[in-house]
Amino acid sequence: MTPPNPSPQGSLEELFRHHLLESEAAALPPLPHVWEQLDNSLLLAQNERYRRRLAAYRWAMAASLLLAALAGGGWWRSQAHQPAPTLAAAGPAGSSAVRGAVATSLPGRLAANYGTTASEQAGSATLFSSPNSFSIDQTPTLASFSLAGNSFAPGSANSYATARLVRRRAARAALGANDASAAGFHSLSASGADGLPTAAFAATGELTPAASLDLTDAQAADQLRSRLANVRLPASTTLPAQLRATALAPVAAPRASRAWQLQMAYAAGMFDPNIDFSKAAGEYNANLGPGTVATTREAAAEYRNHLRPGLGQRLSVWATRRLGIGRWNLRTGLEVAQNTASSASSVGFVGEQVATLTSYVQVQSDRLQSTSYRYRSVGVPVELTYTSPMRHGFSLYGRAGTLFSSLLNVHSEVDGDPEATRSYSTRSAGSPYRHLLASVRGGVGMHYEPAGHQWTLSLGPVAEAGITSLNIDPTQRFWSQQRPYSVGLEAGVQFNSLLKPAPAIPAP
Amino acid sequence: MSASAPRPRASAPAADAAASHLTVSRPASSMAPTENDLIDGCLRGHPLAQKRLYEKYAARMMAVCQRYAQTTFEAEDVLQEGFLTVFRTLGSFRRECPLEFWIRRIMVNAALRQHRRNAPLVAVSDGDYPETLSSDEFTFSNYAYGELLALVQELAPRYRLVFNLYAIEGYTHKEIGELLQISEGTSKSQYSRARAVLQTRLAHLHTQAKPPGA
Repeated sequence: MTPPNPSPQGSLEELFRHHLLESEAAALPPLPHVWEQLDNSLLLAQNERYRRRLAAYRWAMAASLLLAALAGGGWWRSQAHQPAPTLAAAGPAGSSAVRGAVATSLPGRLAANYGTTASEQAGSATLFSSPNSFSIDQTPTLASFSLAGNSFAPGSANSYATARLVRRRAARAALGANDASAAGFHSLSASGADGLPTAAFAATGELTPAASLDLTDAQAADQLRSRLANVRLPASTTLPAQLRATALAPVAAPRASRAWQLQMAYAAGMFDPNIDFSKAAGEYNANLGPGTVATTREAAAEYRNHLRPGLGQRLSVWATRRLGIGRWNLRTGLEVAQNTASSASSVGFVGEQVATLTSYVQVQSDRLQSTSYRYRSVGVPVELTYTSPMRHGFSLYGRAGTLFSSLLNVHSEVDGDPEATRSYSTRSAGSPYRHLLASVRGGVGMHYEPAGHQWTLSLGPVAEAGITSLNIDPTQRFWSQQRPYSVGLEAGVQFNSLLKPAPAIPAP
Repeated sequence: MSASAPRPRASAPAADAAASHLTVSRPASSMAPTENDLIDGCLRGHPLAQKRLYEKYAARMMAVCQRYAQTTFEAEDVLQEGFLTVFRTLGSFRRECPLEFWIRRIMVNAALRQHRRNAPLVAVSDGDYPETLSSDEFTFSNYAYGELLALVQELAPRYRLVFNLYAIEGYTHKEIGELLQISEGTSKSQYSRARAVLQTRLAHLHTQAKPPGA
């Protein structure tokens, strides 16, 4: 028979460790209100995190838009300042031999002193101040060269580089221009209907074609235009036998139209109502029940915590008018939008104060009731747009403006509880939403205008941020209010292109 | 402003359905979420997972907090602050040790913070403690948990902290000195005093418990 186990003994430390540690497993849980307070603190902390994240998103969005605008502006600027060579050194495209010939033969051999030649033929003593280089109007004019059966067209791959080389060489050659021989070179200049050159230049003999037509700047172009206007070939002038004049087809220079243009656009993206229905306890109607204030505040916190963005869609009709300032356009129109969002709360919160005779703990359900929201609005946007140079094909645009809209209808539907469904119109007196909203919007994108068509496609990202909150009575200060925002893509088609062809220039 | 009526409480099966995502990847036989499930759910910010995690460890951690606090209210404050820290820093938990150990450490730190706020530690000069501690033996069955807890709670705050950290949690005096930003000698001194106080009260308690004439 074994004696009963004596009660264990130990030091003071062992005594306390034995009792205090072993009893932890059987300890009673804390009172329920501890979890309620903890849950509330977690909600508040989560809201704060969302708020910080939202601020970070907004900054990132603004920085992206700014970066895109700067990049687009830089690109447009570079495009606008790039000279568009209309006539360049004529020679077989890509022929280095020709470029070499141009470089070496111009000073001595190229008798391109057109001024001298012209003075012989038409009395225009000084057609070009620089003997080997001249410019013509920025208006694109096709010229073709006939040289010993070779035809050269401007715009070849090496034409611009060659033109620059010729211009540099010509500057040096100008010093010895008086010595230049006119042998084998003749220059003809014929005026088109508007006085602009539509001439055919020809060279004869063994000389390498080296005529250089280049755009320099507006001043030189004006000077040239005035000089060309004075050039008149007498009717009796005949071409040398080797010369073969080529008729030039006039190319219409597109010019911007200032008439109103029509555009239709569709946009889709993510919409976040970003509503914060929370209020101070004193701003609620305490007559709706003893637990109404606490319950509504808890429900508003839950709503905010579970608020998720939804799909936003927008259909708009725009009227665009080109302003007289640079490439700026003003556009306005009408748009209808439908946005969605979702949230959840224990009491099916839809934005209104919850009337209850019990506390939040008693009325809350174990399961969160998801709620879907649909916002329909109609608005009038006003925007300024900036487009890249008017040319057919692809171009970029940037836009910014404001939108004033009216919230026509808000439909709140609680999942599994049709009785809790709410629908607010503009005439609903108890609506927790604003009827009139204002927001700012901006975006960048790309235009595509196919040649020969009078319509333009556009596509690009667009972002919108509310100036006003979506809920009607936010208690936060203006700069601390939560406002709706959206990010998406917008596609549109514009009819009656902003580009109109210039009137046709009759052939000489 | 019109008011919407409160929704009725959902049934228990509905609550289980809401929690089904925590067990979706596991066999149906084990319906209780594992520790990893709870951690993952909390990291996603799911309220139900947070509640489950709290329910799993709240009782034990409350016992820990009660040892460091003087009153139950103070212990609840420590518990709340500790769990807030747990949920906020759960992402840094590397799952190399049991979650309970990690939470316990957070609770102890929360208790220390609470103590610093309420009663700053007062330094005691080194050597102000007996060199040798008494080695009396105590019979465990003579004392109950509630009595011992009350004795600990009645200690002065600084003694209570040092006693808990050294005798219960197993920290060394050097670690306690670093935690409380006091010297190692101060920690020893305070522990010695706490132990002396407890020994006296234990003896008194044992005397009271003995029936007259026993």
